[in-house]
Amino acid sequence: MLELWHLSGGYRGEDKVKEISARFREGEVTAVVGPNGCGKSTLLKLIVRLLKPTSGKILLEGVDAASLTRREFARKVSFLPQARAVPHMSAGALVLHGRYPYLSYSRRYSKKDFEAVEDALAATGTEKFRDIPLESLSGGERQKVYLAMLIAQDTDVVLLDEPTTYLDISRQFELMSLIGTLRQRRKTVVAVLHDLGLALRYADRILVLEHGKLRACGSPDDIYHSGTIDCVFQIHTRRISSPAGVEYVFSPERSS
Amino acid sequence: MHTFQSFFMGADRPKFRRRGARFWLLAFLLFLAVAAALDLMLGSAVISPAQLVRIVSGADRSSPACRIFLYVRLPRALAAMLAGSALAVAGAIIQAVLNNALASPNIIGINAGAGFTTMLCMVLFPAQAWLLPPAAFLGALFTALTVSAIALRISASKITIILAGVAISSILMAGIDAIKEFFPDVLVGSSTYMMGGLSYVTADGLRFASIYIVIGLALAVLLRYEMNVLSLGEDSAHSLGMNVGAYRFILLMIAAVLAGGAVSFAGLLGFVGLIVPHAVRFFVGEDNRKVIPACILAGAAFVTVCDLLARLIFAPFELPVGIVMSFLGGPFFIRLLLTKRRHLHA
Amino acid sequence: MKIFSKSRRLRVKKEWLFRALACGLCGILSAGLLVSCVGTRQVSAGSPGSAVRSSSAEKTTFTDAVGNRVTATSAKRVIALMGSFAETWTDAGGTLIGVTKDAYSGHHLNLGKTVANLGSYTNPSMEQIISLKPDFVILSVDTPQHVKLCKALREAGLNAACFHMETFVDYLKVLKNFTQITGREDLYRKNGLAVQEQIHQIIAGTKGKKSPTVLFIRAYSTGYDVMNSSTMTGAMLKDLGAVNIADSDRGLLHDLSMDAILQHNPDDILVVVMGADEKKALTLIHQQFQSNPAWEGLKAVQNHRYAVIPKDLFHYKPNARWGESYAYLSKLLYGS
Repeated sequence: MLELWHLSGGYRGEDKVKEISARFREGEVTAVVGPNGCGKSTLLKLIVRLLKPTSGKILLEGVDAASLTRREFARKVSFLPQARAVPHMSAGALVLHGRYPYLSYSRRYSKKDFEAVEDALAATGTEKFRDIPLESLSGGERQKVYLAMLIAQDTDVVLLDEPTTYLDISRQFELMSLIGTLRQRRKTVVAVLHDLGLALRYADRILVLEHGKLRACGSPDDIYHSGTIDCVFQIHTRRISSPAGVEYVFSPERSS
Repeated sequence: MHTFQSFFMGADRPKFRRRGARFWLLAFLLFLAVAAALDLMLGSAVISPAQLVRIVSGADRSSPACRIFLYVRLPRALAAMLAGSALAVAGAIIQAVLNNALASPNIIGINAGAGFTTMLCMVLFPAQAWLLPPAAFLGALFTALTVSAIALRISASKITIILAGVAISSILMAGIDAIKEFFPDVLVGSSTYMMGGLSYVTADGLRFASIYIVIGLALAVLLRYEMNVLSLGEDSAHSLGMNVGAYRFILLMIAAVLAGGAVSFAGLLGFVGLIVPHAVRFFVGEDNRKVIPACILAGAAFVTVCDLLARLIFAPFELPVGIVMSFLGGPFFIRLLLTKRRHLHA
Repeated sequence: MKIFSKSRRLRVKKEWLFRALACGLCGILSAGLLVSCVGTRQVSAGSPGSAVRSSSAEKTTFTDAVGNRVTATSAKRVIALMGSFAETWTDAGGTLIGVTKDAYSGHHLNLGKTVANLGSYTNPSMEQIISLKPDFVILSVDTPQHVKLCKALREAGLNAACFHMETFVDYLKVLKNFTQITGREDLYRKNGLAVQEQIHQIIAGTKGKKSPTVLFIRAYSTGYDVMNSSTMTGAMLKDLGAVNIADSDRGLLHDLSMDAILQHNPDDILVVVMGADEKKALTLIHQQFQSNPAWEGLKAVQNHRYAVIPKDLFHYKPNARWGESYAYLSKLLYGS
């Protein structure tokens, strides 16, 4: 379980994120949404220790994250950044790198490492890409391989920064449902999402941020009914129930 | 047989990879052994293997051939191998750390930095030849730190890093020119130093530099895996638990030690740092665990071969090694640019 | 999972093979370094120069320009890596087995077929030098490559030394060292002390005369340099009492304009030509200065005190003819 206590922080001392407190439970997917510049990515970077918080605490299973070494922390929290490099290696090699926090000084892979990698490849359906160089894969396929790397890292907490950008819409759905399968592994998933529809559709809980502050926190139902999204994004949200499921439709704010 | 076009377009790339990396490492090793042997045997006087045995066993102690072997060929071959390995690995490290395939000690200004402090040292302490290797090392280090600071502060794009390196390099080269302007007496032979040369290298002169270089190479070999992780990108590497800042710094220091050490006795040898790592990647792939050892072998072999050619082409007159390396390296660099463009579009 | 572990076993085996080879290479490298270090000590003991420890009184010890203590017994096989030193050695009564290319021009040495031509003095081949089995190798301290080479030759057990020669005083010192080796005290007197006496007399003859101001230029096919009193000929001019305008006006060393010459309006303008293409050098001077209309207005030109002076007296080291050089200049400056 991941807890944030009055977390504040930002770039060059200026607090982009102000006093955010939240609790993320295991087996749940939480989506973080908000308009541009609200601090969603900054929040993730603070949690993963890429940025130093100016105040507040991060707790993992009740333990202060700041007290953990890098290695210990990397075994508990994994992160998929928004800007993703395409290194020159095969997909299998990339996923193997996910085992870095577990390697001994000799930097040799153990049987357990290879098993974790196989498992991750199977979970994301990317076994066939094992020996194929990353640059030869399509964006969607590559994203799945990156997810496999995070799975191989075998952490309790998985943070994803806009994992669906640049993907075709079908790939977006595919990736989100893959992310959903992490629930079965009892992982705590926090994903920053740009797409409100995806957030409302796939997440168990939603955090709405505005100007660095937490505006609302709750299930998609709660958030929808509270009208926070309409207020923060200046749009009009409608929910349509159909036999296939629940759909959300967004339209510009009614000028009246 | 390559056609001109396919040579430059890199059309043959997949073919090389079919053979394993191990095969190529062994091939490089063999190539180096042959190059070294030829370098020791050929020259103004050919030293046959039989003579070699006599010299090494101590039976022959004072013939000209013995002297030539022990005091001209052997130090020179060692210098070529050390300089080649050091510069190639320094290049590979810099390319990994700055995540930029076009970076090299030359472009990042390490060579110019080492050259500048060496010249300064020659001016301020003309009689103290033993100060030159540490001076070169410090110059390389300072430049590496400066470029590293600029790169990390701006969170620079690859272009900014190269531009910073070019700017620093030109400042230092201007500094070298300024020294030459104000102290013309000291630097009559400086053009040879600029181009890089292995003439008159002595075992004594190699002593300090070789310690730096061997240590640097050992450390580079130990940190190969970390270089791989760095290629995933700063944020990913961090999230995997790596202390990115610390490793980048250590690796750049190692590159500075290697480049500085090499420059201190070989002058400003260009191209090795850029060319060899790339050439090697065509054969063993991008995995730094193979690239680094391959650079050690191929770098040593490349400079040894160039030195041999430099001595033989217009014998007994010697071309500076730098010229031969540029003529061999230049066309390769052009090929690099053309194939690089293909990768960017992929 | 199965695929990984099978190839992994194979990889582990190859890994050990490779490590063995890598260790082997390191071993060879270290051995190489060791051999060269040990070899140094071995061969120094057997250097040919000191082999003749006879009771002959032909053993001299002096310190060369780099600080090496040079012990030279009678040296029969001598290589001079600079033309001027080749001439000095000949003046000292020595014979040569090897010289550089520049010894063949401007030094009037009788070098027969037995003398090896080692090419340009800037980068002589160390292997060639060693192959000739010399007793003594003469190098110049003013060429950095020579300093390096001297060190390397000495480490190889050869008797090598660096010398400095710019002015006559330097020449005298070098001649003394050389004649100590050759044992030709008489030649020291003839080619050294006698010349010194001659020069002293010439200089004494200039005392009391009005000091002329002089501009001295060294021209070559692609440019020219203004020379001040720290150069060979500049020093001679200074000894003779002339005032070099480049000494007071340092800017002239970088940039010589017609205006600057007009401003100083020296009594004498001297030009020495170097390089292979003398005609081109003189053409350059003509274009730069002589074709300028203001040239005719110069004092030196009007008094016919513009002269092109011979390079074997004023560019190459004149060695034993140094006295001639002084006499020539004295005549130009003072007319006697």
